[in-house]
Amino acid sequence: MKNILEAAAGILIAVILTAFFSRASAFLVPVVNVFSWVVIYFAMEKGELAGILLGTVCGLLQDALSLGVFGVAGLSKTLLGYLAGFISRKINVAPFGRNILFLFIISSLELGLWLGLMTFVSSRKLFSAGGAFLLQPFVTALAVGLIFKLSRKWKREAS
Amino acid sequence: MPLFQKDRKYFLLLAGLVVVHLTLISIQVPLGGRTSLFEKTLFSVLTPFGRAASSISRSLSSFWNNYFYLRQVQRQNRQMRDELFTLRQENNLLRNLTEKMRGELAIRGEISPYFQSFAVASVIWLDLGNVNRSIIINRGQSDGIRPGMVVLDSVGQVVGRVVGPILSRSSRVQLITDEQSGTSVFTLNSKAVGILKGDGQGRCVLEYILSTNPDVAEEEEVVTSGFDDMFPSGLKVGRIISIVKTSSLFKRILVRPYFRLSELRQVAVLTENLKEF
Repeated sequence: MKNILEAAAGILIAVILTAFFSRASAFLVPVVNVFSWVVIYFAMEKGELAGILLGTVCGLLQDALSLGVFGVAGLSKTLLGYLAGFISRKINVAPFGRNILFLFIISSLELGLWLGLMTFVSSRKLFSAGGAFLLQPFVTALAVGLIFKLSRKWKREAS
Repeated sequence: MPLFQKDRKYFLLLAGLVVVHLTLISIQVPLGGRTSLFEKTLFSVLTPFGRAASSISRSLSSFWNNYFYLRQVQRQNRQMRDELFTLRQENNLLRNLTEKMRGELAIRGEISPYFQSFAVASVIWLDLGNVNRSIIINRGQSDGIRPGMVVLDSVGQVVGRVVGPILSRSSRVQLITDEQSGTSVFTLNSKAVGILKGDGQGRCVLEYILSTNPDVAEEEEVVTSGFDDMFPSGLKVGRIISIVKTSSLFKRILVRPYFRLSELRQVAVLTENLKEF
């Protein structure tokens, strides 16, 4: 029950932050993908089951906010959730530097998969924002890395 | 449960969900451009949160501007006073001019559809797939919003038109910068008629202008023609930024739309079917 509530809170925060970023600047929209932050964080914290389920939910929510082929973000985020959960269980990615590197690789994979699928199933061109969307993996890695650092610090202090 | 069994179980779940997603993607082919019920349901679940976030953001920004950052308020106030003064003068001049030209009753009959013929809406979300495709606004069926209605920015320049899904208090607007949009337009000076389509990168392409047409020039203004029966004629759309002669029958003409996505906080939805502006 606690896990479900935490996941619901994570999704709610993602929805609200996305609306905030939309209002703040059009440039931030392709750069900051808060739904990916939530999927990766829960996948690495709770395991691949949480990653798969949250990936599906967050991806479909992202699709619902886009005028394009419905299900593409759903598919790429489901795979992202699974991979993030599975790999982080097999290798130790807890140290900060390694954590950032892993997050960067995994979010680059997701972006690549999403771009590939969009190119394959949609005739629409992708908006590169002058190449700014390539910053998305950097931003995701830094943001999720920071969230991990802070949450570990809080957990240490609490215990 | 042994570890490999757990792995297998998760992998099967992943495979199942991948199949579900692929089915979702493939069933959209027979749907064409229409929205599926599932997408509509997700959209309706999401928008109340977006509306809440948008109104919180607006409140926080107005709290900051009204109580702390008063320099900006004063500057805005001065600007708005000047603008109001100018607009009143212009309005009076235009009224006098039109009344001189025709009888008052005839004018009232013609002008009345233009008053209260629009709904003001706030932008809740930009498109997460490509910001140049669509926006989501906080007005829907209960505000009289219907598919195909024209959407303008704060100074009456074309932004796009309403497409599905349209819920009770929210709807989606397809921008003119979307590749799958189409608007019948003409160039103001040379009167060349063409179809304006988005290029997905924040600009538009003016199509079907013959390579042999010598009159179309850069910096020329582009307005709606009204031939498509979707947009009233005479609405400002944008300005030509480049013309390239190609080996094909038509010129490649790039148009920069007037509306600025980064400044798009509020829009006006034309709720009346007006023929011209």
